Amino acid sequence: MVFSSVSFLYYFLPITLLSYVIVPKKAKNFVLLITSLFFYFYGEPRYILVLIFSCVFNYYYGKSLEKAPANFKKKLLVLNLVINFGILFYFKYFNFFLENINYLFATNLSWTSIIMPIGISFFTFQATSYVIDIYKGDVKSAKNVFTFATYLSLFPQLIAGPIVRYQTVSEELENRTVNFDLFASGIKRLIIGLAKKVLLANVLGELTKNLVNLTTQSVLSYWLQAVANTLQIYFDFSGYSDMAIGLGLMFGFHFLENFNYPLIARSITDFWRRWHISLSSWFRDYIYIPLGGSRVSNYKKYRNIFIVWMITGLWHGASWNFILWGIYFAIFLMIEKAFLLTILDKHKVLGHIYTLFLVLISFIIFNETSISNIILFLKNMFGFNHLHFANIETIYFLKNYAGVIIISIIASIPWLKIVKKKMSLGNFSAKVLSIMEPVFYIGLFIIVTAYIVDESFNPFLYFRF
Amino acid sequence: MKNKVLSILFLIVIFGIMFLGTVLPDKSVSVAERRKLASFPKIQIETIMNGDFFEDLNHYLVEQFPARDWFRKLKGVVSNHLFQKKDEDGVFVHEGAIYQLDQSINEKSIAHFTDLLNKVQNQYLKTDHVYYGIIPDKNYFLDDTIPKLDYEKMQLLLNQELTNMEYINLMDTLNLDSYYKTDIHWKQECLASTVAKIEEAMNLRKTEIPNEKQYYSKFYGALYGRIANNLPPDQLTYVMNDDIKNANVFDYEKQEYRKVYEEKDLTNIDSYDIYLGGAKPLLIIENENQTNGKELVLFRDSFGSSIAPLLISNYSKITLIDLRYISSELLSSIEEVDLSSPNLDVLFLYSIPIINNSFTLK
Repeated sequence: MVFSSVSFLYYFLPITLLSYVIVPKKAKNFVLLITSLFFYFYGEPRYILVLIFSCVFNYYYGKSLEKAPANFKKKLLVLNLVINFGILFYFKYFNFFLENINYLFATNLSWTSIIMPIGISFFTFQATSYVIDIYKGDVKSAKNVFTFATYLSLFPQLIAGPIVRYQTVSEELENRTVNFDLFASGIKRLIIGLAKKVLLANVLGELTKNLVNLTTQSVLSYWLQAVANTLQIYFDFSGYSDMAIGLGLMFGFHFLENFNYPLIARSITDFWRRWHISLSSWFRDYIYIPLGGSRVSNYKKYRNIFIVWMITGLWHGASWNFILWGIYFAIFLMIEKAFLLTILDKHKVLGHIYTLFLVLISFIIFNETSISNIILFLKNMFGFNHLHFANIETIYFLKNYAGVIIISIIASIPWLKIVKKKMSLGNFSAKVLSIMEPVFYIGLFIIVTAYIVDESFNPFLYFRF
Repeated sequence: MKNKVLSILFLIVIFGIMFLGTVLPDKSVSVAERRKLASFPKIQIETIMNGDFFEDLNHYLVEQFPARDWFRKLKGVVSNHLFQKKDEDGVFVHEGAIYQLDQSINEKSIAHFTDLLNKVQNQYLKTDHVYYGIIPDKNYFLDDTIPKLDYEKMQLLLNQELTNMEYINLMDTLNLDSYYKTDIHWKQECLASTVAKIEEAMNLRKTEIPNEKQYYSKFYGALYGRIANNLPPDQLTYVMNDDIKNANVFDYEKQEYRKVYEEKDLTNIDSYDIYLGGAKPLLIIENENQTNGKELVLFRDSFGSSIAPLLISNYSKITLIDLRYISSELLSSIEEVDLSSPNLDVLFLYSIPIINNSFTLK
């Protein structure tokens, strides 16, 4: 089930809220667990058992690990990681692995293609972080299997993140309260996320699709595709994270932020502090730092960056373009660490242009499934294929979607946030704001609904992961 | 306070719509979109487990959403005015008329079309009087700032493949005024030049467009429901003369006779059905006023319904075949028409949108 759907917003959500409110406090987690499992079952009936297995297995594993003798703990942890990542490998990477084996050794090993369970990358990473944190002594194991299953399957973040660590919500799983202020904050965040996804990302996706299908391409059409694609991925994913955080708040959970205006970053290092924060911090804490982080020799430092970013790329999908995408970032992060960051810090405009350009290119690599397509796209974009700069079709689509692109650019920088903050400081403007705010959000929600009703197909890009 | 207000309003909206969605009766058709709406899916273990049930349920909930047309209009208004977007899913308004954007030639579809026409000709027809014409969509007449199909290339591809039949170029017999503003179709009363060109090419007697006209002033065409703007409806005109009035039309599917125009068809979802009752696999128009014994077989789409009455005066019998609804494989089993007659006139008359999406032709 997707958040931006009639079934979720107008059936699942009200029924879940009602059930949650009417049951006694001790049954609230149980309501969340049942509704979350139904939420998953609705979108992926065949693989509900994979999720349930992960919940039960990791809960009891955590308990055993906590009680295990010190000298045995490491072996237990390794076994857990092998099982968890083994399942992930089987569902997500086995087809890719076999394809490459066949290619490398000219073999013809056949295998029925496996369909990946939705959200497996997210709940596997959450489960492993839980077990690792128990091993490190950073958290205590969950009180009971239902509490842990509620954490792992909690529907707001179940299928597309953010990756919520157990330690972030462990207290709230036991004891949380919801008041109108928190509930309203959640509603606002949910509506903003819906607006990002439905009003911007989907429309930008429509533009990209139109441009891809042009009979005659032009240099401008490739640039337009690159810009639309970058903005679409940003609003799609950050919109989803906003919805997840908002829904969390509506049920009393505080998830950590996952995006912080990444398109205003002034270096790739800065970009990755602002983009998919829960994933990059997971890799930092559970792979980069255990490998030695940056407090090692230069060789090891760069090796660590390379390993982490190659895996980050692979996390995004079982395809070489994702690995290349990770390596692409690794190279620029290494260059920045070596010397470039100091220069970029001094020339902020230059840093901004440099970052936007590299991010734009990165999402071409991200989107094109083969290396030859990536090269062709870049050649066309930079005019190496004798294309006209522009044509009637490109100009038509540019004019037609200019409004969406301009609004998307404005929404990707924190201007509105700053204006709102300033308004809340003045007496009169704060009063105006307090009257306008509910009207604005409900109006926006109605508009989002209008867009959803008008759409019949509405997939989330990040469900692939 | 503002948070309380927002929370309560939000709950009213989601619970209110859930309530209305549950208690309001389902609609069977959407008039604006001219199609049936989804009904509640059957509950079966198999479809639940493979996910089809939930997919169908999503579809059903969207299609039966309370005040769905109002929400769709609202989307159009926001898209037009806030985002300044000119088209909605490829449909746009230009100088008071509605158009469907179509810019890519589908060469596979054109090949399918020409293969089918050649197959029908080779398999069934023994006459030398075989003609074909293509009807441009109204985008052909728009200025060059709007992306369009490569019409020249399309004609070239057709001419290259359809070598055993004569091409009647109708492109220059029409203009923007020949089409309805809210619909894709041409206006029957504006087809004088088109009919004249066909008559000339097929060595027929020149006829005039009948003077007697009937009007239907609330014609909301197929494109009307797809945009948010409230454009005025078109006036649909159907022309009459004695040949048309007296002609009998045999509906092969229903095995019954009807008239060329039946006013009850104006109230169908598509009022364009006034012309020969709309989409029909096979119709035979019999004109007893014409005793020359000439017969025309018209392979056609919906555009053919409105032009066929204008060709009646030249023929004793016109057979209209719509290959979207009857397979070419079945043509030999139709006793009412002898396609192998050497005296037949045969005209393949198709609109460009159908040629460019011809896989519905069988």
